[in-house]
Amino acid sequence: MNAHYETAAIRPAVAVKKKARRYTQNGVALFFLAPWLIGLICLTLGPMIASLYFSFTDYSVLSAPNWVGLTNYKTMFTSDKLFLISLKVTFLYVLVSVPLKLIFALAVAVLLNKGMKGLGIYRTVYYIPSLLGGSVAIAMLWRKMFGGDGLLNQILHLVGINAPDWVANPKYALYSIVLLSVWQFGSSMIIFLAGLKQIPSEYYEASAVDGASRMRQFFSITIPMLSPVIFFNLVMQIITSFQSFTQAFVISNGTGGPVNSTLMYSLYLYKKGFAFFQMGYASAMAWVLVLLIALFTLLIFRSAKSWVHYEDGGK
Amino acid sequence: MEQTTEKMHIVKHVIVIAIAFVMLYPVLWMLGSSFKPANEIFSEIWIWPKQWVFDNYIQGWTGIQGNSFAHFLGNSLIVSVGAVVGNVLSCSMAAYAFARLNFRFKTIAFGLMLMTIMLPHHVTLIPQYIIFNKIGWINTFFPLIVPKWLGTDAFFIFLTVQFIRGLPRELDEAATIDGCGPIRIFWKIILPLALPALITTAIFTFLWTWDDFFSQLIYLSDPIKYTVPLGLRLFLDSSSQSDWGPMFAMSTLSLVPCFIVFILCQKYFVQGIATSGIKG
Amino acid sequence: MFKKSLIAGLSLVMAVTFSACSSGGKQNGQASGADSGGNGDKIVLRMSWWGSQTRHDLTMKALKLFEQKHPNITVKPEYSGWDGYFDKLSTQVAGANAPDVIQMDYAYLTDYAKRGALLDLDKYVQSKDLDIADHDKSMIKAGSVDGKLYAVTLGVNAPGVLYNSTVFQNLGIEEPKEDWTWKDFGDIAAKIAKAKGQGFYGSADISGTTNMFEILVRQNGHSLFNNGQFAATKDDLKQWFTMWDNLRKNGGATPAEVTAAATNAQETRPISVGTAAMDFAWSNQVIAFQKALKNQNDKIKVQVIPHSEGEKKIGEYLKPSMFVSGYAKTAHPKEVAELINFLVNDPDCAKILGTERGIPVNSKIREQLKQSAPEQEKMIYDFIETVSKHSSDIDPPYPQGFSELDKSFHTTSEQISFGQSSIDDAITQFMNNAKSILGKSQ
Repeated sequence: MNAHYETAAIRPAVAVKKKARRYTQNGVALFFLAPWLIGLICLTLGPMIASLYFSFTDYSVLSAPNWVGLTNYKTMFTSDKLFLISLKVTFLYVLVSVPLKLIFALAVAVLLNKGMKGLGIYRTVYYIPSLLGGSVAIAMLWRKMFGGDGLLNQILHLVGINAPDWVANPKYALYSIVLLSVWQFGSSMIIFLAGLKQIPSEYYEASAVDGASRMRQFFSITIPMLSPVIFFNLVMQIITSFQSFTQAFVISNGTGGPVNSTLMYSLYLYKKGFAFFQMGYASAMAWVLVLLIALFTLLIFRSAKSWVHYEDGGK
Repeated sequence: MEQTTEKMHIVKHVIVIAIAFVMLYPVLWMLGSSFKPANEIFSEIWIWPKQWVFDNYIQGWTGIQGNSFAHFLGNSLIVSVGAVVGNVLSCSMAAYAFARLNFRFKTIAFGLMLMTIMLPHHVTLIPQYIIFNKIGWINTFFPLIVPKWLGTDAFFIFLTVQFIRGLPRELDEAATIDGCGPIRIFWKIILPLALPALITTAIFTFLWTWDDFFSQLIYLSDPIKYTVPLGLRLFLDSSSQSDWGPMFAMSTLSLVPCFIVFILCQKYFVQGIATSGIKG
Repeated sequence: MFKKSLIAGLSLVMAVTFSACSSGGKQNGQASGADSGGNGDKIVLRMSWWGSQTRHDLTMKALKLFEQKHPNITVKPEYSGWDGYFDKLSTQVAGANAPDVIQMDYAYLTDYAKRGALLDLDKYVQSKDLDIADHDKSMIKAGSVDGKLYAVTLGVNAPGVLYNSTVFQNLGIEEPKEDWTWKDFGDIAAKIAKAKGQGFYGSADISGTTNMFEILVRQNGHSLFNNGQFAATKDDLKQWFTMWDNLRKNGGATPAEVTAAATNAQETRPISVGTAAMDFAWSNQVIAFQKALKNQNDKIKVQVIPHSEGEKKIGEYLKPSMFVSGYAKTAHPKEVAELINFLVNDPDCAKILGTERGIPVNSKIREQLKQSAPEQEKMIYDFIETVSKHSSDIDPPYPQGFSELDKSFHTTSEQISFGQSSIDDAITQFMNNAKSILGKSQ
């Protein structure tokens, strides 16, 4: 550190200021990061390490854990059929619901961003489904709407189509949950709206003067300026979709059925941990999920360099 | 030319209204169910009740054992508002550091922050419970509010980081030349411009805390301290008889505060934030 | 310099944290009353239970009465709905912070008892703080694990067939009698389906309900579990699933989708919604079903589970609808025993609690209450009477791992009903599952 001071004295003033700023920034950073750091150390790190430890034990929650090494991990990949099913179900869910949700959210956000009468009302109305979250009421309703004699089927019947029970049929049950998730695209939409608001209108005005069409504006201005937010929504949707629990839980009534067709990874994890008293196994599942999500996230981060544009010049 | 735009306008409106109806139908159903007698709720699919019953609201509001539903609403309000303030403060601070400051271990810290979002909370629940138990915070609101003041909702840190990164660095540099230190830059420039992100954080924190069943279940034992999600489940017992009517009634009622919060915050989206700060 | 300030900062933070964590607040957050000096100091007991509004109101009333009779004890209630009750309890046990008195469920009893979470009540039975003299012997056995009493029955239940007697009358079908058989059941179910036509079925399909399957197993002279191992045979399973498969084919039982669309909530069951005339349920759900019926003018009645022809023993049994237990680490075990004693043996308490949790386990109290019970409740009392005369002892509590096995059984029935697997294959798969689930839980 001393060496830096000596050389700094010789370098031009700007360089000194830069190094000094970097130096100060560490202290400043500490100040700004303090709440987060405290939370991390006191409330998060300990439990995370504990759960990692549990994953190598047979912890049942009710009694003390005993070390079992890699048994949980081994069982997961070799003899647990339900584990593989839950992976498959979750992958399917993520692959279908995330793109749908984001596309809807973006489309509606753009639609509602400018000159239309009653904009505020529509925005609120579109957001209302998200307010309902994982309520039991919604689960009941969903079963009613998409059930064998539900509203949808009654309408289809009028047109002469005999549709199956979308919620109780193992072939389609998962999609009724996908639909529920997409129906609640409000959160992503709000975030897109906030991002859209940050795009300076001057850009649009300038390009309009240059004769750019709406389409052109969308692809040349909106998308690039919005890309950090798109990136955020994509990463967060993937992370939360992989962890999706509540919808599957309330709609399948906690069973992950019918025939495990809606057994999401988190649901299976929860059952293992709390219903079957195998918290050690559940912890192992949790860490496998972390690795999985981290992998996907890393891939998206890598790809970000090519399509995400930051105004602060960073990457 | 004008006719096509007119037509387009109408088509646009029709589509938007149709979608709106689909969005709203389930909510209307819930509203309608809150006025139906118990045996009609599950057997009828139509929104409007055959028999209008107001008893559900009365029964629901009276709550359980002298804890009227107003109580649950009040508790939820305390927890949610406490969480909102905490989250907005602690997450925006951390986000500023990640987005604007250079410091050692930045990448590791960022990765660590992201990792905390990736671990399912069911497995950290028990160790956290034990920690709170040792401090003596069980059966208080503290475990539900304090973590928010310590940036444990990394989701919002990440969100705000992305927003701040959307702001040009020239603003910061201009301010630095004017003699502002990082703290002042944060307070005077970044925070105001990142308002959409802060509002978003506020809205989501409020709604998700309002709806959070599991944590509130684990940490609150005294029914007098119960929040809305717990209060609603008090009406349900799948092993014997449930009181669906009052539950739907109170579910509908508890949407009202969320609605209000959302409409209030909406204004900030409408105003928009002009980055004319560069020119001015 | 940066490093130093960072380390200094972190150390400060950690020091503060660890001192807060270790010098810690309340001790186990339990009864914050004075030491049990035995000189009449205030004792606080925490009691948890699940239920809906009715149960909360009644129980609170009963607890107030207890406090009147025991002025030195205060009871702090911790009630909630069913959802999450056991998640919370597990967490509290893990944190050594569970309530003193716990409402317990049969399916979880073994798990909690064997892992040392529950109070051994034998000592208090001997000291007469807890009197079980007038309790059904089989109910006492039902609450015992490894020969020790961990749970006292809060309500007696029996499985039965609930049927819509009005539908039977309208169709001119004779109501089932106590000695009816599975064949009779099948015939009646098919008859109803035929008479009512499309969209109406004889009975809900309960082939995925483990504890109903158990009855058939008992009728065949086996038991579902033995020494922690799965003890029903392949033939038992084949007989069961084949019977239900045939019923689905002729409309006697609800088809796969209709079955999957219903949950355990009474209001969603086919009999309530008006698509079936029979269902298999428990005696203390009769009144709830009656209230949930779409057509309120129909009358629900209950009959025993059908017999098997040539059955080795009667499958019916009395079962605890729920238990009350004590927490192993409670600071006031004697008072816990007193409260439990009050809940099941005190006549005034019994008047308040009624049959909301099931028929009282104390035979003297049963007699007392039956006299003043309303008509539908009398029907339940009579039903329990009948069952107690025509039944055999309940099997010991389910072993650890039951929850997982229960789920697997349910999945198996769905695989069959949705045509995803042949009956034989599904059974083989299930038996292998059962072995591995129970194997690793011991």
